[in-house]
Amino acid sequence: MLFKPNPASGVPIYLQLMEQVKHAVETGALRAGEQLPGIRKAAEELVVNPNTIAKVYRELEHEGVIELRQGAGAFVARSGRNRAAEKHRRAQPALAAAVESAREIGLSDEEIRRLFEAELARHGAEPEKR
Amino acid sequence: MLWYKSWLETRWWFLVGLSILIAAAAGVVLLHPWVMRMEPNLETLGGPMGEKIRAAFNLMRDYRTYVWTQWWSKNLVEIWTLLAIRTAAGGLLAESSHGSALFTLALPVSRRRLFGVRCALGLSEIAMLALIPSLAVRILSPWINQTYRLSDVLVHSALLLVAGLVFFSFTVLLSSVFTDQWKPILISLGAAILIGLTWTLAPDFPLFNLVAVMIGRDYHFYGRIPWQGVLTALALSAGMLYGALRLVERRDF
Amino acid sequence: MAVIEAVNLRRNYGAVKAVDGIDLDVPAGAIFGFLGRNGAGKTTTMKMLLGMARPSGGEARVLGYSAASLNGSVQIRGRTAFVSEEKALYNYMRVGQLIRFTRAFYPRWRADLEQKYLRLFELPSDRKVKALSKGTRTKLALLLALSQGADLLILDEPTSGLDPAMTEQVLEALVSHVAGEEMTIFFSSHQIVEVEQIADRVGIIERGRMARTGALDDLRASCRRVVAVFDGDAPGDFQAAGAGCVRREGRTLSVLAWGNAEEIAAEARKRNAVSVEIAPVTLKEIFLETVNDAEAGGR
Repeated sequence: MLFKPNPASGVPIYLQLMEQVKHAVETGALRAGEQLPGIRKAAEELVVNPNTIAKVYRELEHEGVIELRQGAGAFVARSGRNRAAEKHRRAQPALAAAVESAREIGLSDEEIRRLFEAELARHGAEPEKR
Repeated sequence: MLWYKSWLETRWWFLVGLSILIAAAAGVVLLHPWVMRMEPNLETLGGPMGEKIRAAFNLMRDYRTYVWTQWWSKNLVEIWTLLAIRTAAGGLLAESSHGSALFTLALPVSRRRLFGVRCALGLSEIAMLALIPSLAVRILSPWINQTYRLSDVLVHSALLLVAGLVFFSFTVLLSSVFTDQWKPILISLGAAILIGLTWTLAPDFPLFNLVAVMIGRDYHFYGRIPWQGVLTALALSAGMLYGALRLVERRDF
Repeated sequence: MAVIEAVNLRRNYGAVKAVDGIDLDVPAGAIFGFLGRNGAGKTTTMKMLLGMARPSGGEARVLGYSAASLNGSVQIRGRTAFVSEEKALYNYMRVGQLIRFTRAFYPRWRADLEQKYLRLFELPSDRKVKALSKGTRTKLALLLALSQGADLLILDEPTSGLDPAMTEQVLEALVSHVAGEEMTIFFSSHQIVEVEQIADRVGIIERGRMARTGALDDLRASCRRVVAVFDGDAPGDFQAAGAGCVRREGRTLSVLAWGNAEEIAAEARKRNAVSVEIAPVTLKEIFLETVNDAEAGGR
């Protein structure tokens, strides 16, 4: 279901997996109420450290993307509680406009991507997670 | 399971050695009548050489002496010593040249136990190698209308084992110094051959008391057990085995 | 209680300091990746933990027992499974025989895991060990280790010599094992990508010393590469606190920053850098920089 993360990319594995889950929720591959694989099963399938999976699920729960139900497992949160999706919805228009105008200037997608990275880097490293 | 492992490592030499010794024992026994039939031919031999041969022959007319000259002081002691040396070689250091030493050392057993089991099995094997073929001599003797005393079998086997232990222990000691499996064997073999050769030249030299004890000379001729030689051999062996153990315990693999 | 604790562990071979003061702290349930160049001291460290070599100094405790004591190390080995780099086994035994042999030493042997891995790794029970390929031998060695019911697994280059498919199979078995049992894994590897994939703690050893150690996430969070481009040649005397390897190439300056990327970026801007970028760093880069750093005498 999820793709194996790339350990050699600069992005930590847990972030890659979080992104995958969020992306799946956005595109509808994962719907509200659906269950995610258990920590052990996910670790085996993706061949990553189970602690990493645990961290991914914790962070996703913290952001409201999923809920962890005692004894039952991890489930995709109902849309109303998904703060991350909410944040995405609010940020999307500004970003769309920026991409639009950059393309109008004549920048390629690759260049746009690099500029975003530089912008992000300029504003400091990612905020420290718990 | 350590016994099983050591057995797997030594069983071919043991079985082949045992077969050879039993065959040699049978040979010694069955050849006696044939040797006795040579008597008329010896009359014709002249000169001092002829005298010597007739004298030796007379000695062997006595079956017990015959067995002593052909078995205890010749066939058995020679072949057995080779086998004792071969059995003693091996162990943890030799394993390290095969690579499996780390597997063995990862087992939850002390090196003392690893060493002890291997030695104990080796000792059992060389004891069997001394005793069983010698029992074959006793068992086969009636075929040629001779008898051989069980007490002789037991005492001579014991003397061979106790004194020959020195070669076994020496090889074990060398095996705890060299990782190459063949160096200890060659060195011990060299020492054994040297001692064996010079024994024939100077039988009364103190060092060669060892050989005298191994072949049970005093017991055969005088019925006397050479306690001093026995205790010295045991003390030497114990010392060398203990030294080997300490070397193995302290070694870094 | 830490599963592996070492303080100032040392091992000398004559004048050579194979292990020169290593500290280790591996908590229960961790997968600890031990990285280092050939001859850096990884195998020697493992041998000391298992009682195969005696430390020249310092102390190591595994599962609460002292690694230097004879009795202690027997206890340790009763609860620790080890797979050596050569994965040498008894050539003269058959697969089934070797399994039965090993099983006899471990009262907590897991017959269910033995069956599982026998099937999963497709090991031929009747074949003699000497007839097995290296890959199959590795899998057998792993089966023997995983079925012991051990609390700790120490593996020296577990995937060396394996093709990618087998490597993945092995990693999967390890991860599955940690997830399912209460177990800690301490393994060394040259395959940095693998370590990144399954380890949650790492230690980088260089010339017998622990150059860097800690939680993998912390290491990656605190390490950044600052790339500054200057109008003219990059300054040759760029100094900043906490800067790791500094490399100059024409107008570009590249600095590995440990936890203070911002300050270094600011310093670069003060020196009139035309562009300053902060980028994340892979474990491989961290490793290479760390060992080169240690070699150059910095720390």
